[in-house]
Amino acid sequence: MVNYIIRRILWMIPTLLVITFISFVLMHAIPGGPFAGPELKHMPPEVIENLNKYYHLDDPLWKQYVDYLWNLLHGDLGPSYAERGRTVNDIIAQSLPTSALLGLAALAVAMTIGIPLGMLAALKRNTIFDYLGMFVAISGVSVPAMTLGPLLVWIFALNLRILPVAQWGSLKQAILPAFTLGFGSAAILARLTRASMLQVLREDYIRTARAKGLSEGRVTVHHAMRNALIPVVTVIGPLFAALITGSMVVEQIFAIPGMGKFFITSVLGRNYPVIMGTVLLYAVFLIFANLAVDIMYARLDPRIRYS
Amino acid sequence: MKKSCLPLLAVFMAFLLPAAVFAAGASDTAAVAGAGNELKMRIAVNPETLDPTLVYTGDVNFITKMLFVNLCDFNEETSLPTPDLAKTWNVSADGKVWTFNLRNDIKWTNGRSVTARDVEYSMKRILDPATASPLGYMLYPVKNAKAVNKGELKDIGAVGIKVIDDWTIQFTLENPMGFFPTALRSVAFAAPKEAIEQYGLKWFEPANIVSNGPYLLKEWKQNDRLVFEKNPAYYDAKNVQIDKVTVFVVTDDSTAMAMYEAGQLDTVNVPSGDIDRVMKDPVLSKQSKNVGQLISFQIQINVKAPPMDNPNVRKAFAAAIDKEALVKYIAKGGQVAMDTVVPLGAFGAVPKSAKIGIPYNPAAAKEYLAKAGYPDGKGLPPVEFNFNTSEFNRSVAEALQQMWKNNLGVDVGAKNFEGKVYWDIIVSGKLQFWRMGFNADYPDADGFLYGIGHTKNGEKNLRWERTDFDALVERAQAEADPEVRKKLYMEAEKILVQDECAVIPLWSYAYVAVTKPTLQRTYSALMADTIKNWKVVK
Repeated sequence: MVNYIIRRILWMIPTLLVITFISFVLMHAIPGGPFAGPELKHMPPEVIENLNKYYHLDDPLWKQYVDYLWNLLHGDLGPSYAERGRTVNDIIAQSLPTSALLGLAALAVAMTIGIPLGMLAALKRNTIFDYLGMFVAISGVSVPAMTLGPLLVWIFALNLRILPVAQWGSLKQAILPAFTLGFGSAAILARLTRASMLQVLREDYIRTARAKGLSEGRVTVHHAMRNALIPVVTVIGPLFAALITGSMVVEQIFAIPGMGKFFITSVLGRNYPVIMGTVLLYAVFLIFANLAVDIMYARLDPRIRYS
Repeated sequence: MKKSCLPLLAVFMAFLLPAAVFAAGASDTAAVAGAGNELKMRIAVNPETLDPTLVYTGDVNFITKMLFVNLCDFNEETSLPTPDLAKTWNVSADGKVWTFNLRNDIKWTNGRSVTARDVEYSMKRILDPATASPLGYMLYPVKNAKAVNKGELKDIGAVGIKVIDDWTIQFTLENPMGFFPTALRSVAFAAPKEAIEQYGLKWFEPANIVSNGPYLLKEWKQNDRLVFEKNPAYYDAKNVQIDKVTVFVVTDDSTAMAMYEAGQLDTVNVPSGDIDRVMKDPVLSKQSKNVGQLISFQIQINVKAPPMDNPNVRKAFAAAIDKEALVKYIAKGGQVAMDTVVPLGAFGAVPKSAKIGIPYNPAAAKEYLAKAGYPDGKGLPPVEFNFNTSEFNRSVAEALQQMWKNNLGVDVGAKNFEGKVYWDIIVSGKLQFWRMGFNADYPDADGFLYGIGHTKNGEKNLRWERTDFDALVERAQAEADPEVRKKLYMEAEKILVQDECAVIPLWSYAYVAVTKPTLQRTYSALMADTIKNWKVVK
């Protein structure tokens, strides 16, 4: 098992190298540059030339790539072109913790609502619980955060006035964004849990367990639930990576100083080092989340062994 | 079975949900009740920097003004320069040498006096190519400034900036310029040499900053908020009434509006989608104010691209646009329909009574088109209107298409481009005509007309060859007499928007702001609010 984990981590190096290369080529293939006219103000060419020199954008592309890798090796993710004096390392250090907290809270909301709802729907199949649960799940998938967020703000902040509209820093301020971000994922988890549970309940070993005379509770909890969670755990890995690296929409609606917006604004602004930094960060999280999922498999299912 | 499962679920939920909420929660820092008068406002972007020699984004201007004195301040109504760091200024008879006399009672927060050397240092920092300041070009009227900024002249001492003594600074210009103090608007803040040398680009962090303006930077939580407190050592501190200012970084307009309505902000700009609702609301409508901005929304034309190479075609397209209807039904923010380029409020704006430009007239539009050889649009080659991608621009483009269809019988295509490639495509000369929001760096007709239309030193996108226009804007730039300048700009506008019709102005920008009755504020057409003049009333 330990060997397996070490091997997987070593594989990260070539994987990340390929990701940096593809991202670098793709982002330089998009037309327009970091200092090409914002809408109202067009910098004259002399000024753009000075800026390009300042950020070494006048070097040949291969050199820019090699320099990037060299700096990366030293833990330097480069400057942000949009904010003078701030580096990508600064951005990640300042905004990732916020996004991670929000993401964890959202994941907790998603699991707390999604998994029990799915279980309930499966165990009480074709009853009002099932229909109601799946109605909630379908609304969760179909109502996007940009609708749900303002709706919740309207209800809880502007009308009931029991929660703040936006901002980040207190417990109260976390409730609406965590729910907005987590609700969609809750829906996904609920549907998946239901489907997986229904399938497991039809397995032979469940019949065997019942035939042995075990109580329904024991059968459900010890035999069915554990196996039903395997596909759910598979989804939770990438979901975790996506949630804790932030969400542009939720951060924008609730004015939260998180990481999510940089994924979008960096591309719109051709802020090359931030594009590379956010892509790498996401990739690292995804790789680790998938590794964690694979390790969880082995614990949940005795048939799975790694060597 | 069913019974035994439910308690488990309940326990699961009972533990996880509060855990989630606690995980997200830190201390409750949102509701800090400061002593004295407090203002809570919003900025739409996290400032890219607070270094006044590097700030380029218009949104950040009001913060620069809170922290640093400028050579001149600007009257928010007339946009004319008023004393700030400079008490008085004068110009030589040939219009090329400007001398500014400074106040001697302004101090940096480290106790040192702000002198002419600080202004010199800041401007040379802006011009040094190694600084790569986006503001560099704004100093190009100064002698040798362009050559130094381009790296062609290595001796930065050759720039026409001279310290006469601690309280006198003198500028020698390349060419006479009658409104030089206005042109210095964004490049004459003094920056502190000692802090920049000690901390590099971290010098404007709250712990390191040395400033000299009406407010002190106390806290800057990136992408979240900036907190300022009144500077008791500011030279005019007795007239600064608000003690604490919190500026929240809120990128989303609707969120900011909701925060205002929930009492979390004292003033905010109303998002265009909310304007109708605000105006109908008995409370909010009383708190609202329509504020003009010095930005021109216009259609620019490539006069070399057929069929736009025919002036009558251009005039036909201009006369077919009902600008009043566009402003009333599409733009909706209190914008002012314009037949000329320079927005009302900027120096040199042409009054409506002068009747310059091509007004809405469907009959005349048809005649122009017939005169061009395309009666009722017959035989007109395909025409495509272009804009940079946004919902708003699309709705304007669709309204324009409809007007051209109704009034000229012409089907015009509409194509959008992503913001970062739009400019390159315009410069390439491939487009026939396109929308442009034109925002000058200073509130003077020069910034608009010279920039858009000068055939050699302007943007060159119109591809026209009216050297008589160049002569007019050059003369107006050199002239010191305001009345003469106004006349020259009127003539220049006539060539640009009427005789040649290379630009079709649509309106000058405006926004609607709402303000709580407890705040008395001023409004800046220059997008640079003067917070030190605001007052909290109880």
